[in-house]
Amino acid sequence: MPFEAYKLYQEYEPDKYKTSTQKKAEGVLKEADEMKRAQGKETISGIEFQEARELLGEDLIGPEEIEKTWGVRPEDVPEIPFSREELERAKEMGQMLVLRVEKTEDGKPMSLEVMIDIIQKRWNKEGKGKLLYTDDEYKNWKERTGADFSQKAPRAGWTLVSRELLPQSTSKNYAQQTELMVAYLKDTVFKDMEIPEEYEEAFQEWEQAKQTDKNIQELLRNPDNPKYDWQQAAKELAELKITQLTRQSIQETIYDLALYYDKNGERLLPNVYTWSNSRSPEGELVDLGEFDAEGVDAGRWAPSRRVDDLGVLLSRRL
Amino acid sequence: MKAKGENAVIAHLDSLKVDPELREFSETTLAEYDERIKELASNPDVLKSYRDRFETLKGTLAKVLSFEHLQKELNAAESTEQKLRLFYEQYGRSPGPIERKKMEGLANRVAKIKEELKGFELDEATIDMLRRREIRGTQRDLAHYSFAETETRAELIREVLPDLMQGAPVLFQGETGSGKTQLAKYISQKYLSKEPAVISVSEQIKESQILGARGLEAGETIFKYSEFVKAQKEGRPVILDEVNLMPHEFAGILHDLLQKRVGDVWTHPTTGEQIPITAPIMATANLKSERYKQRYELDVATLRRFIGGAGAREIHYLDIGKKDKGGGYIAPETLKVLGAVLADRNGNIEWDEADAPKKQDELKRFVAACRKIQEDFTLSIREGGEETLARTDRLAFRELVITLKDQIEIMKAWKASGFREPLQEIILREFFRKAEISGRAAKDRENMVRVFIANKFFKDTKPEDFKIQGLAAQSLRQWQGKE
Repeated sequence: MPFEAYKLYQEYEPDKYKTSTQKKAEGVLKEADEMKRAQGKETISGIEFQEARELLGEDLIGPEEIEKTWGVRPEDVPEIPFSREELERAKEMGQMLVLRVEKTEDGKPMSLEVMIDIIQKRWNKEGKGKLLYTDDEYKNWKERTGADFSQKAPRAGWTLVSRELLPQSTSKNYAQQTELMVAYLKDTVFKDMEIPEEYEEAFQEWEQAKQTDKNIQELLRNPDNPKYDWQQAAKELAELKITQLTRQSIQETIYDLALYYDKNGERLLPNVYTWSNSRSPEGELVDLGEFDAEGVDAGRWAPSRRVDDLGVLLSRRL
Repeated sequence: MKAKGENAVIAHLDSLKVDPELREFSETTLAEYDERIKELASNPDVLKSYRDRFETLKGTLAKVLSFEHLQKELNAAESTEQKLRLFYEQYGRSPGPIERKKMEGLANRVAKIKEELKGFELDEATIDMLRRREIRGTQRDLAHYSFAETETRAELIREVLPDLMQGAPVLFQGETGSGKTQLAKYISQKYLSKEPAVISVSEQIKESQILGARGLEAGETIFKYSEFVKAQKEGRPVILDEVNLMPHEFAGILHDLLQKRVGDVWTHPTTGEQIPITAPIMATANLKSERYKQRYELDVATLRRFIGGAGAREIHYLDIGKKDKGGGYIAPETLKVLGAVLADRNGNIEWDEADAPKKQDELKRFVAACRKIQEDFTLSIREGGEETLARTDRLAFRELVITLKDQIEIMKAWKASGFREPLQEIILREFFRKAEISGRAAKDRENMVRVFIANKFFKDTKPEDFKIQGLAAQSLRQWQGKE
């Protein structure tokens, strides 16, 4: 019995020809899927999601994980805004894909308070340690960071988050970290790819700021002894588009760390800190990290500080 | 001879060295066959069985033809609709009522064909025949045009063809051996039904090769047109191979021609003859490494004229960059072409059932190795510097690559051996030993050996078998995992 030549490649053309039976079966599956969607039992079944799941494995944290950790099944799961190529590259760079939701099951904001309420009791039972590091309930944590515990929630949507600090991002001030982040995005993340419009704008804004903003210029040119208005600089740096697009807020850091640990049993940032885009009431920029059994620690620094265990995680959104 | 009697017949057969007994045997055997056919033909069950078989085949073929017809019509309608849309976008003009109606008609037709295709009853037998016909189509293309119109190439042709038919020029840029010139020839022969004039451009090209030159004929001075001009006069497409090497002093002539379209007239700069334009100019350019960029890059003014025509398109090796869901490299189009080379006219490859998995594995490893070489070569060309490559698992290829043509030749030789020889022997004989390589290119060949070894070939091959000057036995043993 000879070998049919088309068998060499037909596996790569699964959709080219289909028998009537296959078409019918697909139609039935599609209908069933739509019915599930309508009933709200299943909210995502797109091929992209399945592909992303196959590609990223444990580094995809989607609706199922959210339901398991936060007890909320998102009503409308947004489409993954990243291409397959971007996800492949993200995987190579050690990033995870996280779906963030901003509301709880009963419609409250997914605030720090709520996250602690939902998770801490269960973690205590399971012997998984604490979420936030504090010796006096959450008072110290609140005082140190000035974080909004009751209202502010993560920004909803799919985000690519690096599991480790950006290479060479420690011992750098906030502006130097931003400069490094821009270079990393241009040279590595978007290398040979089309740069999304919002990132193009963010890069332009950063270039503009470097040329016109005295505080930023001082932080970049004279990092050992910058003469600058630190509060003004912190505000400007935190509000930059690039900061908002690529750094986590306090709430987002906690959300991501909790989910990843809950799913994979691994605590990220075990002995380093990431500098967030959130500011304390006095104006410093908040950093979070050293996540161990006693919980995530947090601190705050003026933007000129350079600390050897303080770097930045890339948290890329679109 | 009949009149001369039996002896004459025997004498004749003797002279032909045909054994009369054999003749007798053949005749009796044939007579038996005739008898058998008569018997069978009078058996109504046999006749019915044959009739049913042919009716089924006829039915399947009819389905296949209707399906192919619909597919072709869909492609044509979609591409025309897209082209019209692009045209109006490009010139920022809204279509008028007649044009709108035309576009609406096309859109409706596209929707209708899609619906028809969706409801088309395809069964296993029809799909089998469709796939075999695809293989046969590729075989025909390879035999007639030395080119295979795979999906990506077909897509590209669909995009450029309407402009080419208007006489707009096109530029195909790509790595060496990616099939640019063959593509241009193919378009010309198959779609424009004209034999093209292929002009190999070099830095030394003379004006006479472009425009023509004065000469003497029967004592009279005449102007002899070049192949280039002759083709223009005869309405044949011109292929300017490696147009990036064209000296700048001819830019004026080239630019003038590249702006012409069907219906325009080109005035020959020397003779003043008015030559009506009826065919396009197609050009190719090799993508060169950063090192040679300055020297070989096409000037912007020329490039702009192509972009304003049917475009400056990049042609890469088949399947470059394609990956499966798990991120592994795949080469469906290459396998399709090579499958057609290996198959007979019915679309079958003469591998017996027991051997087929092993052979298939050999073939896929071969294609994977070639893919890797092409990927790394492409990257070397694009990125140039060695430092960049040193950071990854990629190998630097500076001059040599294994092209689809090389792969086809290897497959042909494998098939000719009746698949009895292991594929690696064929690769050695048809590729590595075909030319003894020395100098800078030897390093490329060494890297190719490494890639093949990584794909489980040449585990025990000796250094001298590769015919690569300077290939160290120790290095080879290391790659083979023996040291």
